[in-house]
Amino acid sequence: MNLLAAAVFSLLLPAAPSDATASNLLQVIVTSQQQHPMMPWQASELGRTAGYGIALDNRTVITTEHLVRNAKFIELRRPRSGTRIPATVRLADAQVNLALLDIGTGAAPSNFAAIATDGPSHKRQPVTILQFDETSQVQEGEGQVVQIMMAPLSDAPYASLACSVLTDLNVNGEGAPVITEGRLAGLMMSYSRGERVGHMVPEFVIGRFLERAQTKPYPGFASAGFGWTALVDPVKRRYLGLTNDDRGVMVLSVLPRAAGTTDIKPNDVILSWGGKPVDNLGFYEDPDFGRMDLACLIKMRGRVGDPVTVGIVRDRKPMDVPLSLVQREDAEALIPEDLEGTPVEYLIEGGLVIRELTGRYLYAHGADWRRAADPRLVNLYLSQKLRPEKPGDRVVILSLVLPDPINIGYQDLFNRTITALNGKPVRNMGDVFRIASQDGAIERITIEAVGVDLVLDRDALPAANARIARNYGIPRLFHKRTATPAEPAP
Amino acid sequence: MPLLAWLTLAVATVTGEPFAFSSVVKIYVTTQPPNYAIPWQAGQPGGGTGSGFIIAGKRILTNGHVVSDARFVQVQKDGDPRRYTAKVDTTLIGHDCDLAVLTVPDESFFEGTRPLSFARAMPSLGDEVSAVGYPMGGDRLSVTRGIVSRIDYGTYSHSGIDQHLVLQVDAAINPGNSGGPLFFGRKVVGLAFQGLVGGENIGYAIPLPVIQHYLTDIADGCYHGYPELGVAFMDTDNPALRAHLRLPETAGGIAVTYVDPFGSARDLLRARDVLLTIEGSPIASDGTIQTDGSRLVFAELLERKQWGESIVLTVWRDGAQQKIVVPLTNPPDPFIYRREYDQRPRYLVVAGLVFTPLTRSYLSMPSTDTGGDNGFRLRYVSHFAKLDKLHEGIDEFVVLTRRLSREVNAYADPFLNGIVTEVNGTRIRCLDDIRTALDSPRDGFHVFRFLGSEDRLVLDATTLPETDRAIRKAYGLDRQERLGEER
Repeated sequence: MNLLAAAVFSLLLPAAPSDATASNLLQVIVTSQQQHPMMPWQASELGRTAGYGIALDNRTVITTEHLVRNAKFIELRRPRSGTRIPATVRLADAQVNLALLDIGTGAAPSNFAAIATDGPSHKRQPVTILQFDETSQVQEGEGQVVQIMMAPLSDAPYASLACSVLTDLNVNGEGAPVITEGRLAGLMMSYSRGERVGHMVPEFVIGRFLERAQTKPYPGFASAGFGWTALVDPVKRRYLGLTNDDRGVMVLSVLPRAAGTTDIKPNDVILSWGGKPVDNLGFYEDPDFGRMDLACLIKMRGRVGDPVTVGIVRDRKPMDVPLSLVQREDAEALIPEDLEGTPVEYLIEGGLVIRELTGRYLYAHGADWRRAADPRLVNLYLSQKLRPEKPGDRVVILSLVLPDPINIGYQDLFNRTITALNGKPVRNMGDVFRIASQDGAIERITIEAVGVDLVLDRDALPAANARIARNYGIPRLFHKRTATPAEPAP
Repeated sequence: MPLLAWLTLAVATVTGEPFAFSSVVKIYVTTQPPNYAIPWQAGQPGGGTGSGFIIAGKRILTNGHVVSDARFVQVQKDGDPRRYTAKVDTTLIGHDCDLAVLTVPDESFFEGTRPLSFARAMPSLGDEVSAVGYPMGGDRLSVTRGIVSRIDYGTYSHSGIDQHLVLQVDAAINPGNSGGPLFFGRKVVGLAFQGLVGGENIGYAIPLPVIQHYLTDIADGCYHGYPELGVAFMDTDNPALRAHLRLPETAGGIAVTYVDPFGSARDLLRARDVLLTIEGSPIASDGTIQTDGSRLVFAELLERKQWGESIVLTVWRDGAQQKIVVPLTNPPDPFIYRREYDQRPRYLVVAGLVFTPLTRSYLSMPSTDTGGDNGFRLRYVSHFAKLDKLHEGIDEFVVLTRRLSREVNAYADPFLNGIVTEVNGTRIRCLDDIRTALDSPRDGFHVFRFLGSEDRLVLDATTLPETDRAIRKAYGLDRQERLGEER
C-alpha cells in the first residue's frame, strides 16, 4: 500500500530535487475571527497570527490547519519582501492538522519551483527548519528527528502521526517547513523552547493529504470506529480465552454507524489487522516506522472504503471479520467538536437561547473547562460524545437567558438540557426549527430533571422578541443552515 | 479549620460584672480524623484549640468542628491554671449545624461560674456585639467588638452542604475563636464559627434560633438533626407560567420542580404542585414569607421545626387548593454527601484493591482530582445522582479508590476512581455486596465491571486467599475489611 501511495504521489508532484525549498518559504499572516462560542449571533475579537507555509507550486501553499482555523483573511509574504499576497483556504483537515491555500490570482507570477518531498521520516534523521528572522530573511536551524509516533494533536482531539524534532532554533511560528536534502520532510506544529523539542507533521502524512486532496469530494482519513485497550494482564487474557500471550487488544466502545461497515463488538479481541499481527499493547510492525500504534495502520495507512479483514477472538472463538474503513465525521457525533467554529444553529425565543452543545462551547469555559463547565454537560461529553443513541441525535441546551420581562423567573436556568418544546420531543436543532415553524412559536420548554415547564406568553412573544433583539443588539434571532453540511471542509 | 471567637462590648457597659468571662472556656483538643486513603488505619493525631461557654445543665456549648473526631478534650477557664478533662458524646454533635456540647466529670470545674443566658430575640442590623474567646495571637481571653453586618442564609462549612441562618459581624474572627459566644449586651445571641477567606472584616456566628433548635433537639439525649422537606422549586413570577398552572392572579406561591426521594415530602408532594402557604403564612412568588416584621425565605419556617414534627402546607394542585400535612420524618440519605466525622471509614480490600463507599470525605481527597475521566464522573455522580436517577436500585456508590501494588493488581490503574456496577454478574448495591459476590467466582475468575466502561477487571479467584494474606502482611493491614458502621 505504501508503494502504491508513493507512486501516485510522484506522479502528482514531479520531483525536482534542488535547493529550491528555501525560496518557496512563505510567511502566512492570518487574521482570524470565530463565532462567539457562547453568543452565536456575534463574533469574537479578531486574532492575528503569523506562521509559515511552503509553496508547492505557483498556485498552492501547504501549512497547518490550526494556523488558518477561522481565518477571515490570509496574506502571504516571501522572504525579503514587503509585498503581501492574498490567499484563501482550499482545503483544511483538523484530523491531521494540514491545510492547502490557494495563492490569490491577482498576485504577480511567483515562479515557485515545484517541491519534492523526502522519503519516509526516520529516527535520527538530520533536518533543517526554515523560518523568517526579524528582518524577514530566511533563517535556518539544524535539528534531528528523535521520535515518530501517533500522538494527540495539541489543538484538536485527534491522534495523528507526528515526529519529535530536537532543535536549538527558537521556532517562531507554526507551519515552519522542515527540509532534508532540499525536499520537504514536514511542517512544524509546535515548539517548546524550554525542552528544545518541537512536533512536526511528517511528510508521510503530507503526502497522503495531498494525494487525497485530488479526490472530490475529499475522502479524509479513515477511522476504525471503535476504541480499544491494551490486553497485557495474563489473568484477563486467560479469562477471554486467549491461548497466545503477546497478541491482541480488547475492543471497548464501538461507534454507531451505517449497518454493514463494521461487525466489531465490545470485548472482541483484535489479533490482527489486515494480516498484520497486533501485539498486546496495540502495536504492529510498520514497514517504515517500526513499532507503531494500531491507529497508524488504520488512519495513516488505511483509506476510507478499504476492505480490511480483522482477526479476532470473540466468546473464546477465533474468527475473521470483514470490515470497511469509514471516515469519522464530526457531524455524526452526539456532541460535535465544531473546532472550525462554523456558525452554529440557534434560536432565540423570548430571550431563551436554544442551541446544540459542542466541544467548542465547553472549551470556552477556559483551560480548566472540565471543572468550570456544568458537571452534567462535561460528563455527557466525556462519556458519550461520539455515541448518539440514534443517528442525528444532539444535545439541545438552553445555553443562556437574556433577561427580559417575558422570561422573568427563568433567568437562573441555563446550561440545561432541553428534552421537549411545546410538548414535542427534541433531538436536535432540526426538531427545534420544525416545531417553531409548525407551531408558529416556542411557548413551552421542557428541561431535563425540572418538573415544571418554562412557559412563555405567546401573545407577547412577537413584541418581546423584537425588544430583545433591539435591546441586546442581536441582528438575527435564529440561524438555520440551509442544508446539512455534506463535508467538513470546503 | 476555622476557629473563631468574639467579645468586646466595652467592658464599661458590662458594669464591671465578671459575669461572662469566667464562663468562656478554652478547649484543648486532640483529634484523629481518619485518612480515607488508608481507611484501615486510625489516622494521624493532631490538635488545636477552640472556645466554648458554659450553659445551663453544667454543659459547655461549642462548635461541632472543634470536637469532631476528638480523642482527648480538656477545658480551661481564664485565669485558672488547671485543665479539666471534658467528655464529648458524639451522638450529640450536630454536624449539620456545627454545634456540640461537652460535659466535665469533675464538677468542681463549674465552681465560681454561671451559665450564660441567651437573649430572647435576635439583634438587629447595626447592633453592637462582642465576641469572646481564645483566638490565635495569645493565650488569654480575647474580646473584640463589632456590629451585626448581615443576617442571612449561609452554608455551614463543617458539613459542607447544610444551609442555615448566619449572623455576619465585622469584628475579627480568627482561628481559635470557634465556639466562643457573641454577646449583645449581657446576653448571648450567637456563637462564632467561621470566617471568610479573602474577605475583610467578615466573620460569621451561628445565631440564636439555630442554637436553640439544637439545644431543644438534644433535650431527649439524642440528636436528630434538621428535617429535610426535600423539594426543589422555582418562583412563579412569570405571568405565563402562572396562567399555565392556572394559578389565581393573587395567590403567590412557588412551583415544585423536583421532589427528593429521601425528603419528608417524598410521597406527598409532586412536581408542578405550587406551595401557597407554609404554617399559615402565605409564600410570595419569590419564595419569601412575611413574619416578625421582616421578609424571610420560607425555608426559615421549616428550620424552626424539629425532626418528627409536621408542617402544614397549602398546595395548588390540578387547579384547586388543598391542605397537605407533611410529617418531617425524612430517612437517612446516602446520596447527600455531607462530610463525615467520628466514623471509621468502611472499606474492603480484595487483591490489594481498596473499595469504599463514595463519600464527601473521599471526594475531597486529591487522588480523585487527577483530571482523569473517572474523577470527573465521580464529581458528576455526587452532584446529580438523584436528579438523574443514577441512585435507583442501589444503596450507595462503591468506588475502587486505590491499589496496593502487587503482581495481582498490576493492570488495575485504569479502573481507579471507577464506580463498581457489577461483580461476577451480581449488581453491586452497596459495599457488602462485593463481599457476597466474591463467593461466586465465574470459572475461577472474579470479574468486576464499572460505570460507563465496557472494560472489566479480572482477578484469579483461585489464588486470591493467598494473595490477600501476602498483601495484608506487606502493607500492614490489620484487617481485610470494615463493612459495618463503627465509631
